Amino acid sequence: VTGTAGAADAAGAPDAAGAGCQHAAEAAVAEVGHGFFRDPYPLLGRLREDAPVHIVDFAYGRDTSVDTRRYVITRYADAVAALTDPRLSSEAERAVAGLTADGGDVTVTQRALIRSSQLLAGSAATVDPPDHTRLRRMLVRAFSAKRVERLRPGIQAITDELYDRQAGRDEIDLVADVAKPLSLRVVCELLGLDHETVEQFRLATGEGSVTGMFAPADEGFAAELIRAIDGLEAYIAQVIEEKRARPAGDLLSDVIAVREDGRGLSEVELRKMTALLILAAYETTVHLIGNGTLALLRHPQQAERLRADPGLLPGAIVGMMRYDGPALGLTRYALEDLEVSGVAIPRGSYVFIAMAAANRDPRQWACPERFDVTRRFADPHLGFGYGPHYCLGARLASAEAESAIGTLLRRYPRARLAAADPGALPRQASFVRGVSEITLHLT
Amino acid sequence: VRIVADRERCIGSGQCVLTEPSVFDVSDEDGLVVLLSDQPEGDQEKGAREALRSCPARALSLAPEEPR
Repeated sequence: VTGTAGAADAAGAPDAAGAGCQHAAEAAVAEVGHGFFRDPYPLLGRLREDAPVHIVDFAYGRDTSVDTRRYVITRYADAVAALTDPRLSSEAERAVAGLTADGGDVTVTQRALIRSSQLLAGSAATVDPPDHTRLRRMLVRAFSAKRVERLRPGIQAITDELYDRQAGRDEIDLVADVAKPLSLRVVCELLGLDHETVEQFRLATGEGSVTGMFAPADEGFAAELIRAIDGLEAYIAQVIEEKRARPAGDLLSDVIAVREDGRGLSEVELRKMTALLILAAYETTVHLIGNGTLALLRHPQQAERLRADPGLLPGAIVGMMRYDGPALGLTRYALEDLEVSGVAIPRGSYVFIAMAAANRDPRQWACPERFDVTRRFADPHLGFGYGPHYCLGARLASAEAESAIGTLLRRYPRARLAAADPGALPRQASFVRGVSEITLHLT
Repeated sequence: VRIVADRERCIGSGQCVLTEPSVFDVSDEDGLVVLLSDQPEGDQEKGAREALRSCPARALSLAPEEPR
């Protein structure tokens, strides 16, 4: 657990082509701790400006019997290339192959990783072509813009109801009172699930779900997470059975009904897809709303501009995604030796594509640290990813954020942060990053 | 207008299909864009224009209508 030994290897001429392959610089391990998940941008910025690729150890809060080191890509052009590189695999179960292949006993924390990986293994997010192409195509057809547009009035009705409940209060927690229930209820409406039941398994769909193929360090947390995953899987199996018998017009019923060339999704594929849609939609949207509101209320003049011209809202949400979106990055597995801007990444390594770093890359964006609701961008930010795994729910998430943030501005012109530094981070800091409470004064 | 899809640029994000499924689809083979209709009119044209804007790879463009 040492400092920056080796950093000089790659710091010199990171972009020098033809100078032979360099080795990735080792980042200071100690820097990826609590502070990183509170504000990752200082470290990500240093890494990005130092060299194109670093090895970073994400041991903080993890069981280190499972490899916690990642080759981290931080620059926009490299991230775009990596997100479309077929040599970088999305197959999550590779992370646990070593554990299960050993055949020996696994610890409860390792088992939590195996179970959370199995929850999604083989879903559209965690497979490569050709299976990915088939699963993705089915989802793309089911997840149409028209379906999202049909949901819009429902989204606004839920938002209004959630703010109505705050009547008479000066202080609210935006995360618990608005963002979480809104995101949960919308995904449940889309899929046709019971939101109170899904909420019981929140550890599996929230902080425990997206640990980037890490095992949690805390045994109590791991045991709780396994129970939540078991419960969620059982509920999903039951719901699919019910919808087979009685289709209900929701997205899940539609996908169950698809029988393209006699080849619909298998039972297992249906279960993984359902789990994926809940996990991909729920916590991410909570933190889009949370991080976006924080960015806005920390820049009161920007909030004022948005109040004065609500037509700026859709573009402002794009700006929030670039400035501080919920996804720090995505994990991939190198199927072959490869080279990123002259730095060698060996086959069998885990690669972390830090979209949050790329979204503030000065090679790509003028004044990348500036948050401005009137800014419009010629190129896409990477907050929803890029390439074949691009977020299918991008439009839905944006519609929810527009509703939650737009309504806050409209109904509570005096809304402001109760403290410059909002509440605690979730128990298990994850690559879907946001705070677990945001206290606001409304009046 | 005529829609042109550049399959070299397409990254298979599927945003166009999400936006206007009557004009765009994704291929079974490679997951990349397929045009179902390259000269959409009315609501389809409106949707197709929005799809142009939503494409993260900038793989879609407009060209002058071909003479019939």
